[in-house]
Amino acid sequence: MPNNMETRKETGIIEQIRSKFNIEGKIQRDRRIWVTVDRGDLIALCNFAKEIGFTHLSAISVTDWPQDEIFELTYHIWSYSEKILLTIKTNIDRATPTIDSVTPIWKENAQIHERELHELFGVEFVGNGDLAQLFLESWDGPPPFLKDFNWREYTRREFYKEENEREKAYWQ
Amino acid sequence: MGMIQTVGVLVNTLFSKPITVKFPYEAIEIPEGFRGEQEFDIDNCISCDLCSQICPNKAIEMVNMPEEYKEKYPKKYPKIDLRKCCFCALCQDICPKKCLTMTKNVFLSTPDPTTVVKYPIPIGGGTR
Amino acid sequence: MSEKKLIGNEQISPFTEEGTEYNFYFGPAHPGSGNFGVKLKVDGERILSARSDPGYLHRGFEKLMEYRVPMQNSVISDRVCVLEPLNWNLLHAEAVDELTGVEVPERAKYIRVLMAELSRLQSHLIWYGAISIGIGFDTGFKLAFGYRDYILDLFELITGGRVYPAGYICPGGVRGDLPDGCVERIMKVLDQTEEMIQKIEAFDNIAFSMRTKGIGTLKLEDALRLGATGPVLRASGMKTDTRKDDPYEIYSELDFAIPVEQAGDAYARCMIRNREMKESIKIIKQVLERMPEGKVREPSKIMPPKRVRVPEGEVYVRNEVARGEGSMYMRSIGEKEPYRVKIRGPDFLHMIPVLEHLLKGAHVADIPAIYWSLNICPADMDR
Repeated sequence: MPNNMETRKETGIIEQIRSKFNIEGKIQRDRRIWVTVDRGDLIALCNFAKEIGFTHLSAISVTDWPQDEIFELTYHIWSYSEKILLTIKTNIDRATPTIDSVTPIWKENAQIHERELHELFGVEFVGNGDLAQLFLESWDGPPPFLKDFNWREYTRREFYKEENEREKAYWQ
Repeated sequence: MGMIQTVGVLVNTLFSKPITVKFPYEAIEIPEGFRGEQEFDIDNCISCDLCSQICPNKAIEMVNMPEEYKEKYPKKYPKIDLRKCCFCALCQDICPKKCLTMTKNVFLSTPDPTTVVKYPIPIGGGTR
Repeated sequence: MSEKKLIGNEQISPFTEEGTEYNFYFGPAHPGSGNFGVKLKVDGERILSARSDPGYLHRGFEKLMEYRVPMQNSVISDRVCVLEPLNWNLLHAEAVDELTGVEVPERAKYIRVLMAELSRLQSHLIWYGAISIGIGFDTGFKLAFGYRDYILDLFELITGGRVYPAGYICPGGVRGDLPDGCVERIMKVLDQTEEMIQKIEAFDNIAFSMRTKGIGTLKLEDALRLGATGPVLRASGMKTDTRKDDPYEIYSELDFAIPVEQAGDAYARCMIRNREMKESIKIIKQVLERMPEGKVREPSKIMPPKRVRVPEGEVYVRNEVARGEGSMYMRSIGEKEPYRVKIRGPDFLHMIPVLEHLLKGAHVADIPAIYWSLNICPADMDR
């Protein structure tokens, strides 16, 4: 039965992670595994994942939770040989967001994703060689994708000389 | 051999009809279902406000009618700002009484600023 | 070249201390580069180093989508990449469908695959026109855009707009059924596209093989390290395609081949896209034969935006867009708007790490061949 065989491959990977790191993964559906770790174990788990075949880093993302005062990082890694996607989630402190970079593991692929997140969220990746500005030029405001940055107010304050009647629908 | 083919194609195109469409004197036929400018039927509108909630660019605003129309049309009706509209037809799909429909009118460019906003009934000497 | 302040805080002066080295900005107002610039350090005719300069089309989609309900997001999702709007519509619709758990009707799945493959065909025709004009072959450009127009007329008939289908593939299905007489027109357009592919093969000797063979070679281990996906990775020898490895919609029931080349140069990337066009035509013919009857959207009416609720959860969806692997991560907390949307475009990796790697050591005259053989689209890099 193809369905059982697929779940067996995902279960095998979850078993390996549990025996080495003592954390429970979750199988969401075919070909999707989600795992949550502490920030201290992140690099060890990423190294282990690369060894067992997860060689393609698809994306890194940051979610901002201002009430809980954390940033939640998600690393989405795909394995060409097993055809499974593993997602690793971890939390870091929102006031001083620093974490070790995964550039030594996935090289330039990880470097460019971290550069974008540094610019848009302000997360500091220690060990990434190149955190220069990417999209925005001469930007001196706060990181723009944070939940408490009101970009409409910022634009109105910095760039408008007079009220724009067409935009009043956004201020109701 | 190639020369003969070239001369053949040359003679063929010398005597065939040009395919240029002389816009704006004539235009290509537009098929049914094209999303052009909206047409609003005010007598069926129930002022449910759904069209202005679904618009992704907030181009629809519900406004009161001017004095001379107020007793026939006492509620609020949609005013569409065509400069912000992206012609996605979500307002047509969500209207429960089917009084907002998209026509095939794409000839909207104008140097006249009084026609860029579409009122429920054309007012103040404007044509929209 | 003037010495004015060009971009950002960096001042580029044209001349350095050595005699033949100079800085050169292959820039965003160039007709052959799209909305994207590359800062080059050049010695005579040979490039020493390259630095990409993205950001001219940054619209902040990930933040825009946090203020709109899923139906409105599906309308703006076709502007994520302008050259293939229907593929990005499909990606967004799949993400929302997986979150809400709705059962998409069968007929809607077939129509979705039909529109996605037609969009891939017209995107490859744009690519062919762009690379032809880049290497100086003007006839190819005119023919490609002429034949693409037949596909755009089809889009106008089915979705209501030539370039932007306004969220035609929406969460729950598609927005409207195929009109009558559509299937015959699609078959006619496929015949015309096959004519164009025959012409492409005939032009191969004249233009392409001389300008693109041996240029911009990307080895397999470099491609994997730099994050290349899609045709760029397949041209270096790796047999992988998201439609077969991670199937979505009804691709697991269709029969098509995956073209692979070993050389890794610009010519191999061109050959792969030509063969992909033929495979797309095969897929469309199978879809038209097997399409069932039924509803096209579940639920049939649009829900009023104040009553929409997307259940809590998170998903990661991967699709094969025309340029590579496109993915979306969507996180919802039970409100009507998504809490976080992360869009990963294939060109984010192709235009920054891969391009900087390939341009090092190349000639200035080969820049269009390398640049356009990667089939870049600044829109889904910047989002």
